[in-house]
Amino acid sequence: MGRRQLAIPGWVVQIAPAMLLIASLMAAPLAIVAILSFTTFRPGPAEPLQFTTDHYSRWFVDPYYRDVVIRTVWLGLATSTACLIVGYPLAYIFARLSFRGRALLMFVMLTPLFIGAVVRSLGWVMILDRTGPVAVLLEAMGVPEGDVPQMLYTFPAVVISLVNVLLMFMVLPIYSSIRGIPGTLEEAGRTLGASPFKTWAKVTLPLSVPGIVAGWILVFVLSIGSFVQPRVIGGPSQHVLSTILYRDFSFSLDWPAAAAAGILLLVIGIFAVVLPRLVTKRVMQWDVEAESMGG
Amino acid sequence: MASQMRRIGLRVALIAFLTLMVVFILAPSLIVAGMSLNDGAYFSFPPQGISLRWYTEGLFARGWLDALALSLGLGVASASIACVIGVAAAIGLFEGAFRGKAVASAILHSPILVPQLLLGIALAFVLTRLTWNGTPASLLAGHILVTAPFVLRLVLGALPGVPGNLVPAARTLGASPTTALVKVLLPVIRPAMVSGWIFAFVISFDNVMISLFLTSPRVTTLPVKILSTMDQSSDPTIAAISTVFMIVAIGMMLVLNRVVGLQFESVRAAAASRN
Repeated sequence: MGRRQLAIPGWVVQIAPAMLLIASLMAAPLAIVAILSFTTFRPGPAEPLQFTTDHYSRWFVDPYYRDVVIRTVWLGLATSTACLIVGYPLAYIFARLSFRGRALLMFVMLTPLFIGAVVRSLGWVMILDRTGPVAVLLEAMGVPEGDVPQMLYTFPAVVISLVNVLLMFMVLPIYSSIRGIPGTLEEAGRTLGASPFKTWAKVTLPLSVPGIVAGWILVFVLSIGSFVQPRVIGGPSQHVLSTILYRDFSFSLDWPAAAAAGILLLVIGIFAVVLPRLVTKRVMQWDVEAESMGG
Repeated sequence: MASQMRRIGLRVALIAFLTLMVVFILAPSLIVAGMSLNDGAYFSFPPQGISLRWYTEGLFARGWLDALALSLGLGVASASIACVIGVAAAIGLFEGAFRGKAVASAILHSPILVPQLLLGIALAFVLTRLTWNGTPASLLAGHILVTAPFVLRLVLGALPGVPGNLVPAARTLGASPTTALVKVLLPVIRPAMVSGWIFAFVISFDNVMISLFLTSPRVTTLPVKILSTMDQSSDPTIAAISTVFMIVAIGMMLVLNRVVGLQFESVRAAAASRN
């Protein structure tokens, strides 16, 4: 372990600043805030603190907050699935086909990553608003003006805006997965007589599963943690964990409740990362057992 | 004949799909840019005439330029500091021989895994107790925290590619460790460092979720200000400043493309992969 090819000594000095940064700005504050989440702290005049688990129990006990958690998880599932459906073909096209303007297209597809959520959300508000182009298009197609549905402040609108920003987080892992598959394998499939679809289904798809899983987890975690889109495009009717967190923090000044919401978000994220791994491990174990039993 | 029809059909489907994708991806940005030129005093579609007045009048009001300046300054400062910290940590992690390296690596990458909102609250709480919150310094601290791991990741990915005998050769020829580092190693990993800097800048420039907790009414970044203004007014000035924002961001993209080529491989290394 530790290739000494750089021959530059002093690893302690080198990693110390980063360690210090993380210890002071992340680890300690997180620990403090974790403790805070079990108290009745309020900013302002100092009152005696009491221990409470209310900030956590409300998420399981109160139907309103239960709905919020369900909606948050649902948002993650919907966004990941939508990104997968749209992103897999896109990744395959980029990985396996070469065509003119491919590099430019890649560049264009990456712009959302650089422009950020706020400006994009502004754009979606303009697009989906009742005075926006989609509504105008619907009216032009014959929908009477009073009947144009409110597209903004709905769950699908939030999903669409999230997919807009997060699509490339699904495409990139799948892209590198497919690129990693030797072209000879697919050639072999075709040579042995399989149709293009069958080759894809039996060769490419299974081998690209690691990329799919990585992309899916990534988009899920990023979408449950997203704040701007649910806030701006979802509005008050589409509260998710992150918007409740911010509401508690800035309006109710209930910092412990906000902290608890943040920790809950972290826990859900950890589940999302760990669970697929456990499942894949289990599946592989079954495979091995099945093989050893079958002889 | 049938297979040729199918081939043409596939081609058409492909082009249609890709066109749809491009429109989908570009639509929000284009409409914001378009609205910024709208002469009317509120959002309307189709736009009522073209005018640059939101750029010439609107931008200079209500602290937009202050927010822009702060975002730019924060971007440069946090990217630069994150680079120093990140490059040093990458070298230490790659080269050092010590037990618990996997743990150290996990710790150094961990800010990427924690929800930024949670990081924001945690920092806000601690910094407010120290009466230090709502200042450029508090924002800088938060931005460095979330950008340094990306730089670390990018540089760490480039270090294995450094030829194994390069630095030892320099040392043998008499270079001190510092000279070997600065004049031999750093130039070799420069593309990774530059892309690390640019990514850090963009992450800081775009950042909302941790900045929300670290700003104050007088000290605010551009994305946070745009977000809070969205709730209040529908004045096209917001579209104008957002277009300026986009120009800066895309400008950075172009620079990055010149340096390393924005192929998916280089972006993949920086994308928040949780594996």
